[in-house]
Amino acid sequence: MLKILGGLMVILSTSAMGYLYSFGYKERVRQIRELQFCINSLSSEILYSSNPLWVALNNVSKNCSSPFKELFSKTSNYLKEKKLESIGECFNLAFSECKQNLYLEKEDVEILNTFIQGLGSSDFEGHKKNFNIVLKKLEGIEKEAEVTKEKNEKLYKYLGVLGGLLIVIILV
Amino acid sequence: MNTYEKEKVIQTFKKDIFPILTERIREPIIKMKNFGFYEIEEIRLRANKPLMLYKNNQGFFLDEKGEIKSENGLIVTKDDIEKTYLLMCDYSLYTMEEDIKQGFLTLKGGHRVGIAGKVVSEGGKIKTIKNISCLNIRIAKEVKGCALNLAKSIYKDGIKHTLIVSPPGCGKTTILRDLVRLLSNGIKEIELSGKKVTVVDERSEIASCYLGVPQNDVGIRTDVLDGCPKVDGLMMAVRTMSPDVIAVDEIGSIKDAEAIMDAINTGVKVISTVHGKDLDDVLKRRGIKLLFENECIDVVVFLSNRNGPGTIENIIKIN
Repeated sequence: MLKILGGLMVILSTSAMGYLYSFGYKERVRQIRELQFCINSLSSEILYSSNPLWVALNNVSKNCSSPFKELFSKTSNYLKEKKLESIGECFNLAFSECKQNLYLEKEDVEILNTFIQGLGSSDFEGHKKNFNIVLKKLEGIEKEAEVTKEKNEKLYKYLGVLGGLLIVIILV
Repeated sequence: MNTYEKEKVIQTFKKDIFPILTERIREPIIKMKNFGFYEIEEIRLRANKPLMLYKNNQGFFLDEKGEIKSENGLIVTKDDIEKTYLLMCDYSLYTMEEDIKQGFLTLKGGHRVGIAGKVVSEGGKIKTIKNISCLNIRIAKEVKGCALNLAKSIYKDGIKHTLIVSPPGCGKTTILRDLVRLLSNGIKEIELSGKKVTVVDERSEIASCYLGVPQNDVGIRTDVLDGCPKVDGLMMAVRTMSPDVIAVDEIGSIKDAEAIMDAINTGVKVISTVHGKDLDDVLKRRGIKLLFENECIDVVVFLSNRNGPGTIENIIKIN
């Protein structure tokens, strides 16, 4: 009886691990899509309404979902308070506070960072270019993330369950 | 300066001025010993040159500890200027594109910042100013009631087309703002009821709008066209806002004058300001001359700095 219970626990925990791991892949795709949506609305806030960055980010944060909601509203607040001397610094501070909810890879973060650095200090033309570049890059990354997700999502789920089974069989 | 005003100016500094300065420059100004920072009228930053503060049109240097010096003050670096510039624009240069082309920015609170640097032009038109090396921050002080006596004397028989003339820094805009407020709220002493006023605030100095909402008290019946070019604004105001009075700052060109004449033909009164010292001075401006020739100005008010900003030197009644 005890053996069965123990075995079940092992299988349950390893499958949970597998699920969690595969969730990361799924979530990354969702977040990249969400980010594209955010940047699109940011572009109309800036190019059409000509709002200062903190107002624009605040408006964007109202319409998007977690974790970008928190990320952008925090950045907006820091900019409003003029807490730090550059946009990049304000963004990095907010980013480090929201890090645990972001399932982005290093390359995604780099793209986001370069994009943020390019905000504010140029005219509308410069912003248009910046928006175009970042959206194109994100599109590419989304496709790639989709492929990795397809490949890995199921793999990790099965790996979790089967790994658990394997441990149980070996132990028994 | 009475205590109430002093308190208010201190608040203004804390809210609008200090956040845009870098720490190196902010700290000495806060610590300043010989006189309070609220007395400063201008802060000048020049790359690799000492920081300068102006009080009563006199310049002072300042060292790191906040001590007034006659020379060798705190040197402003290029980095200070760049950071300050970005902070002034709310980190968003693109929102200021049009202003930058004209060589100035308006901060929250209506403080005007003159900028100088490398001007980039294209086809004879200024495209932008880059490599900013000089910033001149002029602290705007709202002085409520400063135009009351003036208004009482010139408007006792009804509102007239008014031109306010003064050299820079003598309180033109402050007087205009207060006139607008008084006309809009009405003046009981001379039984003048409140009038609908439209302010065409091209440089966002009169009402100091921040995100569209006036930060200065411009009266209860006042509509503000913020950031609107004067010529278009005058027409827009007449067509859409049905004002009794239109106020514009710093007119001078023929186009301004034509727009004002058009507006006057629809029956509104126009209050405007212009840079200049005396009548001969302003008559050299073709736009102003045109206005005089067409009887579009009834009262001319001359201001000076003699007894502090806003000293009324002379009032000429034409009609």
